[in-house]
Amino acid sequence: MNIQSDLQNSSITLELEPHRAAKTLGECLRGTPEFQNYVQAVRAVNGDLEIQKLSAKMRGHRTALKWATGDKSVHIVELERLEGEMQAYPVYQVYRQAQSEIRALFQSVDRLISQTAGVEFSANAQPSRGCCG
Amino acid sequence: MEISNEIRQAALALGEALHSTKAVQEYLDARARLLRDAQSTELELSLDALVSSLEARQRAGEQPSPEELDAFYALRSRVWGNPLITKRNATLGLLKPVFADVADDIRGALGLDFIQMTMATE
Repeated sequence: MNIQSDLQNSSITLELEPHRAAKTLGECLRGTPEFQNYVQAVRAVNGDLEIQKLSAKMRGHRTALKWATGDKSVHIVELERLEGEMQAYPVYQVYRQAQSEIRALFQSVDRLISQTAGVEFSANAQPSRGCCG
Repeated sequence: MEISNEIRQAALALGEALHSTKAVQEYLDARARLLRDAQSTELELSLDALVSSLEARQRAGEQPSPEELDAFYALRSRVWGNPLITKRNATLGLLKPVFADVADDIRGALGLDFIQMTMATE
């Protein structure tokens, strides 16, 4: 019996366990109705030509606002108008509903992980936003 | 939000697995040591309060006086030099890449960015 080797093996198992648990959780979440509905809604939105046209126009205004080109107030008004137009489409409404449901599920799951871990999970798993003073 | 027993068990298993990692244990230990030290905790709270107050005044268009800025820098130096706060921050910094790796595993299995979906405000 090699105690040192056993200890090393057990430490390797401990390090691997979160990764295995994470994969299991991901697979479980894939099987939920919320996930299936969301994937279906995303496909529907991506396959809708009118929504894609509106989306492209909105991206154009957002880019203009980001790079400060053109009249800011015109871009904002136009973005609001296009957003309103988009929201009138039933396929988009279904998408937003599905998105809201899957988000609520993920947030509940995140709370469970965080409570058990003793540290907030998602908030600390986010990519760093750079240094602060 | 109602969640199935299977998801609940999987989430709890991940939480427990994270809890048992060296990175989380070191962070929790450092955080507990800091919380037990009233002086260090108060020092950190004083800086948080001062930063909030200065930011609120700046948003209102008011500029802090040079004396107030000196007081801020002095307090910030004390916070940055506090070994308990430094240790807590350092262990938190070491924990984040571990969590990010685990989040990548969830994303790999799910095909969707769990963290981005969870943290989005909209």
